[in-house]
Amino acid sequence: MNVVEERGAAGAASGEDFAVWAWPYLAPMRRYACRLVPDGDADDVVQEALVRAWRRWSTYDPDRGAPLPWMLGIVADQARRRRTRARLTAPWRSEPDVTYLEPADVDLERAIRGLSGRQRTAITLYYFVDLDVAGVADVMRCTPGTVQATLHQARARLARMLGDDDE
Amino acid sequence: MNDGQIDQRLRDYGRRWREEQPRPVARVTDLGRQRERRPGASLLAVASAVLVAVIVGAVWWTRVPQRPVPATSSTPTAPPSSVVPSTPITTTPSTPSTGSEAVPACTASQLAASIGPDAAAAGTQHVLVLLQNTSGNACNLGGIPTLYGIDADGSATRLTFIRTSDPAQDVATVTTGSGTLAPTERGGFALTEGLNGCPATPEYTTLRIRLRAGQDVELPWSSTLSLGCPEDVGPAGVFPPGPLPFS
Repeated sequence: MNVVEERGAAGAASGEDFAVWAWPYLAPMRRYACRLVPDGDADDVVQEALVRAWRRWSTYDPDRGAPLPWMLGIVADQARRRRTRARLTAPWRSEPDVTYLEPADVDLERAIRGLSGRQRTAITLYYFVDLDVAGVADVMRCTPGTVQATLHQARARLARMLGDDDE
Repeated sequence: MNDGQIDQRLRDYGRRWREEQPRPVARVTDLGRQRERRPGASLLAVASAVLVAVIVGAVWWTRVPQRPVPATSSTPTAPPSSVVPSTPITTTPSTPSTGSEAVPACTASQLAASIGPDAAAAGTQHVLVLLQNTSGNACNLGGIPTLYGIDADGSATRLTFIRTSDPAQDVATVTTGSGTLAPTERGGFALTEGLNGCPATPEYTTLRIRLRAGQDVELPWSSTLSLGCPEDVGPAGVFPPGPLPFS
């Protein structure tokens, strides 16, 4: 007897409902995870986030925000837990892997890692996860105006860092 | 560099980065149709495979078509049917019990890698990467590895093989799925590379095989791996007795 049969029709239906509901968010969740943890851990983080989301699904209130920011928040939380565990066991590999496509990407990636945590989060969500400003604001729990300002400050800092490298 | 320029540079890099990320591929169209018929049904099957893997203590994932579903000890109860990282999944054959449940997953230090036979067919080339158990203990070999090419300066580039267990992409007799690798036994996985119209991939000095986080096996780069554009990497498994495929 497999798990689905054991859970019975009601449980399976609930799981299917969640599957259908969560489906559109898997790609951005994985993108975000890839930016937060080493490549080999990203799928685990998404997996753990989905399990956690499923368990807490009944507490999700659509009136309080869109599903994607809620899911990405869980991804960030799971990534943070995993990084903490990784630092305890293998401190040398707590940074995400990066596939450099062009030599210039190395500098840009290094500069991004030099940003403050909040600036890096805004850059990651806006440019890599591909959320709009409102979506970034939902995840970061601030106003769109604050996101715009954070992005602007982050870009200014990146420009300075990359400018310094060029000199 | 002004704000507009850095914004454009970030947009370009972000777009290229996203394109580089594993995603549902064209050949998943069949899977999409299947999903339309029974939304989540295949995922439920994957979830059941994950649970079985957890219960039997198999740390490694079993065969899944597009992306491995890592079994973690932090999922003591049945996960939802959608608990699959990112891409549509079709089938899930939980591997029949073969007595390998109690065997720990192979670690990098237990394995020696080499390039095995290769064969070309219909515009593609199938290459076997062999993994031999050089330890004195049996271990469980499975999952779909992640591959990196290492430059002479030591920088690693993730190779863009698409992970697949799609039976249509499997090389007959190669893809065995997870299994127990006895001492001195050989297992491995198949790579499929396109030949026709593909630019040659760069020559690296080393091929790094990431079995899972923190478990890397490396071997000198082979020119066999630079024939054309990367396509698929299949699941690792134990080769059945007898001659290796293609040999």
